[in-house]
Amino acid sequence: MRYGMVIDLKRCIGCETCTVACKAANQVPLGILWNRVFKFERGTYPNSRMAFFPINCMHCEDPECVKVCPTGASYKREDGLVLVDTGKCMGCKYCILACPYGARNSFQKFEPFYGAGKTPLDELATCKHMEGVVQKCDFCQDRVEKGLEPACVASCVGRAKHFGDLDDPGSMVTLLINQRGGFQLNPELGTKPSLFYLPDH
Amino acid sequence: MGCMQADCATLVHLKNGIVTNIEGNPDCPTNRGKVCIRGISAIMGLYNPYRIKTPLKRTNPRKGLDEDPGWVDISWDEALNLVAEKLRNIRQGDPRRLVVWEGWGCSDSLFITPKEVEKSTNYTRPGIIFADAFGTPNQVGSHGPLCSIHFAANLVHGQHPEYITDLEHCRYLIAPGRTVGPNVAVPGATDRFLDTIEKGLKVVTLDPRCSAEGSKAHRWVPIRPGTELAFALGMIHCILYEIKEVDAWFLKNRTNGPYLIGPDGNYVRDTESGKPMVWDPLDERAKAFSDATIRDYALEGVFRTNGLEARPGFDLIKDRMRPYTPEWAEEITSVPAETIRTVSREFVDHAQIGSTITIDGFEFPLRPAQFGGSGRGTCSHQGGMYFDLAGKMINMLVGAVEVPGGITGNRNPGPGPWTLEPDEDGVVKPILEAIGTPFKFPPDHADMGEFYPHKHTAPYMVARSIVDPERYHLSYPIEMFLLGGANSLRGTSDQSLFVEAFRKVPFVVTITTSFDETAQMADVVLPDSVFLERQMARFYLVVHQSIADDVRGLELVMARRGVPPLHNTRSVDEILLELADRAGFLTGSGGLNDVVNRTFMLTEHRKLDLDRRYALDEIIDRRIKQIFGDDHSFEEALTHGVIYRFSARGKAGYNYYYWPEDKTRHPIYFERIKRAGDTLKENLKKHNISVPGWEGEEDRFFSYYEPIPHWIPSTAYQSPPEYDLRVVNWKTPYMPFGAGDTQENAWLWELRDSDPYEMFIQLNPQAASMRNLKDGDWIWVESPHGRTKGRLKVTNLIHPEVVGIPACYGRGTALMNPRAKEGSSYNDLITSHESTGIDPLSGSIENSPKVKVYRVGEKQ
Repeated sequence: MRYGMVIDLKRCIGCETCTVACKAANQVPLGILWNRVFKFERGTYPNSRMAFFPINCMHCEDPECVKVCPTGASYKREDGLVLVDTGKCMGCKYCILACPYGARNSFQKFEPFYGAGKTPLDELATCKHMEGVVQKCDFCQDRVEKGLEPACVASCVGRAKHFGDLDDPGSMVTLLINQRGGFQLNPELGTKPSLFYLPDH
Repeated sequence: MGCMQADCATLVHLKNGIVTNIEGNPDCPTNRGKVCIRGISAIMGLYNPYRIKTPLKRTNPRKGLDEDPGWVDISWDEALNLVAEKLRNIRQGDPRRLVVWEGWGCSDSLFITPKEVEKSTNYTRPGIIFADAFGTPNQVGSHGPLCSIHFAANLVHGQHPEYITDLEHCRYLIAPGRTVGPNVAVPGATDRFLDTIEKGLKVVTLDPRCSAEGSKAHRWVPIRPGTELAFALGMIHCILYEIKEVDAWFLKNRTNGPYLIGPDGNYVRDTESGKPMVWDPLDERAKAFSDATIRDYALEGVFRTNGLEARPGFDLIKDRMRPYTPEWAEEITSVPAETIRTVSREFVDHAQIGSTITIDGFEFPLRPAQFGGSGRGTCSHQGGMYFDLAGKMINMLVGAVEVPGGITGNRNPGPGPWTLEPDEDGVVKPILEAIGTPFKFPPDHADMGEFYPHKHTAPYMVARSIVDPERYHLSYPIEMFLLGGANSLRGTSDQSLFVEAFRKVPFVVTITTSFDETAQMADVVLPDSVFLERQMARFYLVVHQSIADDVRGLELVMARRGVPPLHNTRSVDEILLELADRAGFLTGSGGLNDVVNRTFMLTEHRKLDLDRRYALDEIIDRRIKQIFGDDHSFEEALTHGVIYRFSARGKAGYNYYYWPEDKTRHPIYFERIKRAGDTLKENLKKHNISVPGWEGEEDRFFSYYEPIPHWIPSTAYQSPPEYDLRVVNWKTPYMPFGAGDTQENAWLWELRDSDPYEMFIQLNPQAASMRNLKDGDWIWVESPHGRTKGRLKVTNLIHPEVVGIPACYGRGTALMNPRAKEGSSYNDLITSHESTGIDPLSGSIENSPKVKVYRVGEKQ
């Protein structure tokens, strides 16, 4: 079992529903996004188009973040998930520097979502996340354990995201990668991401 | 969810009473189990600390957007009594003195949302139950003048609100100025659209900017905004004069194209039967259109009958289109003539004229191509209705109306007026806006419906008639505004005019969730519960944007239990029920119960007893039983989230099935529009008046009431030459409307803060460099009517003569989330003044006035 994700750039419409679904499902605090959608344009007028590039943690096979972690808080699980044991994390942030995909975050001090005061969601976020330690996309491990897809995959309005077992030759993710020429972001860096993209043309 | 689309059944997750997540209900076919970014963000709307938490009464008599109202908290009892007393007094005198405003913030309400979805209104006009029971004709949408897209569908195929795309069969879609879903992330519709692209759908996006949808398109055709009519006329010319391939059978048998038109522009009628006549070229004589001996129909030629020279309507159309060459169109639109030719050719090829498809053993014409008009970006100009009608004509030329693949209407098909039932002239019966408001003088309606009988909504006319009642012949005073989820102070034009009107009205009550502009100007604020807190049923009787077989013929109700209200708020329908009761028009003949019975067509034991009060849940329950049967219930809907069935699948899912072959005709020569114009002219003459604002220019305004769309340069573009760009506005996934208070929403602000386009004013690199402007500069955008500022984003995704300002930002009040004031206010640039670009037919205001841009701090 090796969990991976496929993002179909032909279907992504850049709406960022995935980003907000992730925030809701994981109580992600203010100022941090575990999932981001980069929006840019290609070509010059009038032969120009918008392009969208969702990025979350790549859950690399050979992750830089794990290599540099001095406490062993960052680790790669057998099923492919790259996770942070917040009990062991001391907040040195080497991993944030090391990750070539900018997938990791931390915050020093909780800020409420609204200036006028804390909401119940701020309270929940405070329980789930600690100041100073590192956090990132964990492929929604709680949901996956219950047999659900990660929130970004389940919520995608365009059904552009897929999640499954990269070791299974018959899984949707494997089939899509093979049939549509799935590619990784910056493969030359050698981290071997478990997140593949399907081209939009 | 409170968004106007309302196709999304949701699952709301709670943990220890806290809403933690919102997901789509996988059992609901309409949204295919998804909910969009705004739906999920509704959690932050629920917990928004800037919400109104309790009923309020003003103590400062001076009203202004920047004036502290001096709010005091009052109890619900006091608030409701105060409002009910005013209602009672007004109702006992002249009930017209109350204006009820509706808006998308309460789109799920039973009592304040227009019920044109209901067959009970006889399709003549939308009715708001609360306002009908009260007895005021002044029921006004705060939305609409930037989105007047309904008239052509109401007229050409008797459907409302608009055309939609049959994605099951369409493989070539020209999409002008609108989205089929992706640009605002509509769940369901977006998925269907992307699926159909994978199946080979080619989309041609005709738009001054390249949107997300345009980026998936086969072609992006940039166009000068407000010139789409010229593009459509150029296409018609190209098809008629260069390609010369049309669906002659369709034109002869299913349009009024063969109907003979006399020198006066009206139908030539059979002297005996009174029916419009056609020319049978094989028998060489004119016959009534329904004559059983007809062997063929002439579409072109000049014929003598009844002592008159007559020509088929189609012939007159063809003649009128003669000057509109692609080169002519290029000059006006900036679209290369070659592109117009290519798109026309592709369109005709994909239409596969003459092809058929058999569904359930029934043979339909198959036309897998369509010109999808009815877009806000294209219809909201002077001449916008002509554009929409021209777009329908393009479809009719290839027979792509109400058949598989072609444009179809929103409603569930079936026998009855929603389908294509012909009138006595054999032409599809018009509905709603195409029937319009009957003339009366002095006008009954504060929104001047008598002067703009086919308008969509005209909130600005209410403001004008209140501020200058003599000019607008408003013969009675407006004493009260009651607003429900409506904000004409933010979402329309001429804010200062609206402020003046609001000041003049002695008593303003708003049902709203946030300290918006209406609250700022109100005497009493009745705090609405947010969507998540409302226990509601949303009846899905209208397909939006597109249709595919998985939702064809669907009748559905979605329901959700409300989260316990966080604050001392009540839901809009509870408030209205209570007000009707306290003000004395809940019970009795003509009361709310009576109107409910009629509107929801409740029969037998499901009918409400006129003399007792029912809980909201009970009313909803009866409505569900009426539609789905007595073995269904509101409780069932709440438990499962949805109840649905398919009432018209397969062949029964197409309107053509009920009125096939030559059994009905769509208008292509718009005789009814001419008639409407003639009638209005007569009525004005009879009373010796002009439409206020039309004085001295009647000819120009009436030139939009002709039976054949044609090019008329809009007055909106006759600004001084220093205004050398045109502004466009578009909806985004963060903000398709103001509903849902997304401008206060903390999660959406996080995303806006990192979005490279959303909060920026957008210019093409050529336009920027010509003016010495660069990425990141603070600039003013100024029209002859106002100005707004913002940060510049230089982008290749926009036409070089255009300034783009997304969504509806830059307004907001002192008590709202301060972030709500950020951004640029496109609405400051537009105006509803009669001389500057109203479309007389639809009442739409000019969406793309001319503007200029300059750096902040620079002298002008």
